[in-house]
Amino acid sequence: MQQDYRVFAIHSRLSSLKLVIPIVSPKGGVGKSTISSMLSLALSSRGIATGLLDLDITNPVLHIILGIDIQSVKLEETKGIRPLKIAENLEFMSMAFFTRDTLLPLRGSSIVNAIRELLAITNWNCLVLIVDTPPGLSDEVLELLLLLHTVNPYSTKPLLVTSQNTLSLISIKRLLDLIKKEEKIDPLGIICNMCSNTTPIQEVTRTYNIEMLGYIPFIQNFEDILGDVKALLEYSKRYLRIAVEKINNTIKLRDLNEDSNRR
Amino acid sequence: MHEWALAEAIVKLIEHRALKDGANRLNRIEIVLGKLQQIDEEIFLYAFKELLNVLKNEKNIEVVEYRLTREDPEFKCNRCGLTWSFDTNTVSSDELEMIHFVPETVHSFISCPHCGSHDFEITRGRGISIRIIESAEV
Repeated sequence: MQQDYRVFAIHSRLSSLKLVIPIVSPKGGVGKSTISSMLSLALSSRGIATGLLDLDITNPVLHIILGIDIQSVKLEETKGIRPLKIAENLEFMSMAFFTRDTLLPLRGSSIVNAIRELLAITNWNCLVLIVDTPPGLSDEVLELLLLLHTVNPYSTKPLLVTSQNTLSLISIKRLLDLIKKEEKIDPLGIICNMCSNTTPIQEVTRTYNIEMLGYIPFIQNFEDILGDVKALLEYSKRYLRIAVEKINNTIKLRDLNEDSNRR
Repeated sequence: MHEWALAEAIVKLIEHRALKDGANRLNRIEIVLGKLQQIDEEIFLYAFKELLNVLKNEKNIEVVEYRLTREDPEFKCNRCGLTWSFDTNTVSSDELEMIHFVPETVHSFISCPHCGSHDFEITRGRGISIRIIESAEV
């Protein structure tokens, strides 16, 4: 009988995390990577030890949003590989470090192998892990949920992202319909990006009883702030305040529960 | 350090399997070292033996016999069907190091020598795999 030893390594690597937040949307182009970056910056500036993982294995881009020059980075080897520290309280890992910022063409089983290898060697030192996922509900997201399920399903709270356009809203409703049957998947909430009209998304939050964690308007000069961490942080403080509070409170609640369980 | 981490994960799997089977002896284990990942065999074996000793002393779980085999990497192109082996001279030392950490990154660095496609499978010799052939002596 053959078994995957990496699952055991992943289990011990991830079991110290208090909260894992996969940023998900079945539709592409809604701003998952931007929101992952902004949210990580906001959480770390709040003093919360945060990790950011780019789970887009074949075409990672978070490092570009965050202005990291991959070619100049040499990751430190300490009991595995330490993620790159990009700010006080913020560490970052991406497949781009290992492909030297090139495209990685992979089919399904190889994507799973690459994810397991990456998570088995990454030595996180954070409490909250934000995971930017590629669009859809395929290998990357399913594998992440599977691995997290083996660690602690209750520490996983997906944050859903949509825009206000019809296709994106239909896609997010499909996702909510799908996960409502899964008793152990409890979303953190939903963020509407590039949003000028809040009515359609409010209707979704009412229908599905999911918490609205922020509206972000269309950022006109987004191309200009790519790689500008200070500017991204300013936007985060303006638009992601509720999401940061929600995450902070969720961690506190988990601390309280753990304390009472110990007593 | 990577070799230690790999050995540690394998020993955890052995412990899990023994506990699951209610056994404290695992009679035969086969470890296959795929050469694409370029595991330092000496460091890996040293770590593995040390950790097996810890397992025996602390958990009373013993591995009676283990066998190590090595496997050369082999690729198969999904586009034209060509099968070929890995020539380390076709990649830089930096790229080799990346392949050591995540073998799948080889898809970024090489392509089919016949048709140039990056759509290929690693059919053999990728990394470490472990097979527990016989367990269950209580």
